Amino acid sequence: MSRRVDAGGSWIDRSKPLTFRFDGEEYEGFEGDTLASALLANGIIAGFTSPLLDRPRGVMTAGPEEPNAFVEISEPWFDAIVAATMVELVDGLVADPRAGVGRLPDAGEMPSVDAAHRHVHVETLVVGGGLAGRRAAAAAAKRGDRVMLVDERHRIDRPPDGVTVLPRTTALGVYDDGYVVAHERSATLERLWHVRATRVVLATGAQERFVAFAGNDRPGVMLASAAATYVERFGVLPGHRVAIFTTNDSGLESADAVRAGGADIVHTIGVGEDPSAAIEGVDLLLVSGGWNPNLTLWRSMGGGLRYSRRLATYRPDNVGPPWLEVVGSADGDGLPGSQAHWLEPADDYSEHFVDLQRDQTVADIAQALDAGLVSVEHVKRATYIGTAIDQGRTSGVLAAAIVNQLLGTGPDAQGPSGARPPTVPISYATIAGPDRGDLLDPIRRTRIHPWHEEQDAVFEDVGQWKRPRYFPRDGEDMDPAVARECLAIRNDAGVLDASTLGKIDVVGPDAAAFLDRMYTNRMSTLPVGSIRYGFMLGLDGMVADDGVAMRLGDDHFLVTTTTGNAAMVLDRFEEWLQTEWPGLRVYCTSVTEQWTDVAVAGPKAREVIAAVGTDIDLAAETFPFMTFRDGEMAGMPVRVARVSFTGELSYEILVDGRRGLELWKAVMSAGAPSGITAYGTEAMHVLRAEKGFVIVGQDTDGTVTPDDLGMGWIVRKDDSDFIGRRSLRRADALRDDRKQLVGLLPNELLPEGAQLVEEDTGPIPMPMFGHVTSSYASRTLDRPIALAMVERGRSRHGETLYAPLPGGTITAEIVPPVFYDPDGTRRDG
Amino acid sequence: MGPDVTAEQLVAAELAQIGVRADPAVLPFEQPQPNTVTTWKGRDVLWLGPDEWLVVGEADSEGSIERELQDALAGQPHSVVDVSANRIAFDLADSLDLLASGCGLDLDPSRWVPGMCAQSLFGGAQVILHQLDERTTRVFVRPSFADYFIDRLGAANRLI
Repeated sequence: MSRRVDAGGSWIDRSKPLTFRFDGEEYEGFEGDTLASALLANGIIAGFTSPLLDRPRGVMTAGPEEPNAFVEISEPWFDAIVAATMVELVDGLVADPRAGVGRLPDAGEMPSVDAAHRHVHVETLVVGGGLAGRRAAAAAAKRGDRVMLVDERHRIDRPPDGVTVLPRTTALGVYDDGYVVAHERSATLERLWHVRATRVVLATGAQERFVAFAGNDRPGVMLASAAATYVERFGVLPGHRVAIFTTNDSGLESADAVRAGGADIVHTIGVGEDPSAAIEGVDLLLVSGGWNPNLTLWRSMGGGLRYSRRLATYRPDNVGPPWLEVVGSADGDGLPGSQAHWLEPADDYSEHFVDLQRDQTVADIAQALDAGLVSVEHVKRATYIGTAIDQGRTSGVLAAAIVNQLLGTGPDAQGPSGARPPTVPISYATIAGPDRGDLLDPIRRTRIHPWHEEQDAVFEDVGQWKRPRYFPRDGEDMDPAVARECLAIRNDAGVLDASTLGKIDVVGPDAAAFLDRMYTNRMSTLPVGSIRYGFMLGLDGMVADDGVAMRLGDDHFLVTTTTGNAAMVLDRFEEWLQTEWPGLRVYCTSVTEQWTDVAVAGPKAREVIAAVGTDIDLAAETFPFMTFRDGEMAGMPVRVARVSFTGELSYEILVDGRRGLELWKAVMSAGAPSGITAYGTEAMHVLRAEKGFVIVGQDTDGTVTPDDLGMGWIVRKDDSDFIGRRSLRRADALRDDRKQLVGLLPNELLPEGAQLVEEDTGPIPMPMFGHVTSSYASRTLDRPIALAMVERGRSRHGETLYAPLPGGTITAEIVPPVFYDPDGTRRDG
Repeated sequence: MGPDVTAEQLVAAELAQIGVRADPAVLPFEQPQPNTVTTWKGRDVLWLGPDEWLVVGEADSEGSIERELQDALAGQPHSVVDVSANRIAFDLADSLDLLASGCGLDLDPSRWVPGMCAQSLFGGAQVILHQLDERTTRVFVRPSFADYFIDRLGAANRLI
């Protein structure tokens, strides 16, 4: 039976019918309808169910405070759960009722959510398009402000000129310094706005208050102003035989509007008469318990409240951030005075509903108080009142008032519980916007990446970088590919794209003194042209990063960092320079991507470099280990450093990034007769582990000192200070039972992370003495090897430990961590 | 839903780039106001910070710019570093709305006007923006982020 009437209907266009589906049935509505108004127009009074008690429920409001009428939208967009009162009706809309809880489709059926993101700056943002909001927006525009006005409804009447007006846009949250996130949704568009406003005006209006009486959740019970809205905006009469229960004058005005729509008002009930008695015999019971300013956003920013006896509710106390202002009925302006009536007295409160979406009644509040709770916040957590997705818009103030009343305290003793963003549910896909899939986090590629792809390299993620892990040939799996690459470097020559290493140019009269403070060893004694390996510690004395420093001049260094810590190290340099030592004359510049780094390693590395062609004298006597030379190679200006992470003779060639790929190809081609082999990070890891070189972040975990690694030599012992020095003298750093780096010779390959114990059998749990940090099948040694951190490890060489694992126990002998060429004879080739 | 960003909209620029750090009192060029660009001998000088500037010249001029600056600042604490390969530059046409999909700066044409520059983020990539004229925004981005930058622009363009 249609409840559409000729009266009212200012928001609908009766010449534009639309069809939609609800709960499997097809219906008609008009352009301008909400889903809720169209359902009521089609006579659907009880189309919903309560989530816990399975009670029939109907549309109770005409706005965002709706506690009953929740739907899933599946066409033409997807929304897991939304109030029907806030859904703009569009042709072909498909909706199904949801009992307060959304449902995620199965992974395969997951609809695509494509939310655009947009940052915008304005001088004034107004939230709420009612009279007060429009006035505030118009005044700000007249002042010359850039003004944005958002309203969550699909229509803003008489929008002011000179203002960016966004209907269908919900302010989800207000954050520090006027940052507001707002969600715009229509049938054709979804957009998340990031608004930075100099001033935010909350014109969020007021919401009519509910009253707790027996059966107040039954379909046909509706807020009085909502019924008036359905008549005036949508031409829908929600009932014909109507009773009104009101504590204030606005209820009578709403009743007049409903009467103008053609209804008979058969009862007018005031405080002192039980409205539940009037439910039988009418098809619509209007309730007006007064008005609550809508202060969700105000309160989420820390805005305070004060109780108004006239309104029998809370108004903003204007103690909030200076850029945030509340106007209009949200500030209590123009709201009708109301009697303070929350609760219809009864013997049995089990059907006096307070939070309809949580199915919680006055009896539930009473039970929480009987259990000894006295705080509204505790009652909220005991009953879940206010925690459903309607955020307790109809129940928050009511629950607080009932707590006050049942405790016998004054009505102003406790206000409603706190409010937090987001104001309505929002999907993670919307928050992510375009930043998902491959764009979730940037993927960084080196200049040589196209060559790696041509060679079908298998990549691994190192921080944000894609680095070749290995280069399979002829369908090789990882193990044979890595073994082949390792042997090539040990026997001939290999080449690695090391461009991802962080590089920082450090220059200034105090550069050397500065680096002395940042590293545990001395950089100021390094001769120009030389290189020194160094450790950086945290303030806690634990190893934070490692790298080398090249001295380019008396006051000029180029330092490297690990791939993953490049930004952290530069930030740390800048932080200390700017906050602690502003007097030091030092400038730091990231040059990570200025240089492509081509590392050639192996006994034939010198032969390869010579074949590429260079004016640099490569003889070991004139170009020794841990020095660098500037010169030309294949016609390109280069800086060549003799450092080694493999233990073999090694040259790292730095070249202008724009020519990096050209140099790489020149090395590959000139090195072909020497059997040069491109290798990836996996072979690099194996080779460095054979030499016992640690990787910060793999063999260390933020709890490891240099001495734990057997590298006490890298920490200078004089009185000069460096970051972390003081912490190295703490009792904990000096314990004699600390875990220390050791090598392991296991009887089969250990998994990294395996825990090590002293006995192969015995009661569980048994004490753990260490863990495996690195583990590889060494092709060079033809056996599995591992690095581990083991309690008192350095004094236990020769002992046996066990790794009990689901597939059986692995036995491992503790050995020094250098497995290969312990005397370092191979580094000069 | 718009198309991918077109080649006309996105042009890679070959440039010389020299980073300069020094006491502002000893600069050989007129010090730009914060977040603006001045010119020096036909080169752009971008303000990056209170003691940090980026001098941008035509391709292959990095050697001469570096020498001129080193000579001018000799004897003063300073840093002059060739960073021509450290970032690549894209000249984007009519793309402030696209950039506003992933950049929190105020890019409203009434406030973000030709001659302004700023360091910021676009999505997850560090960028330096320089508004060349009414239509063209020059975006400096690390080469390793270039593919990401273009893909992120395209994603924004498809959603806008």
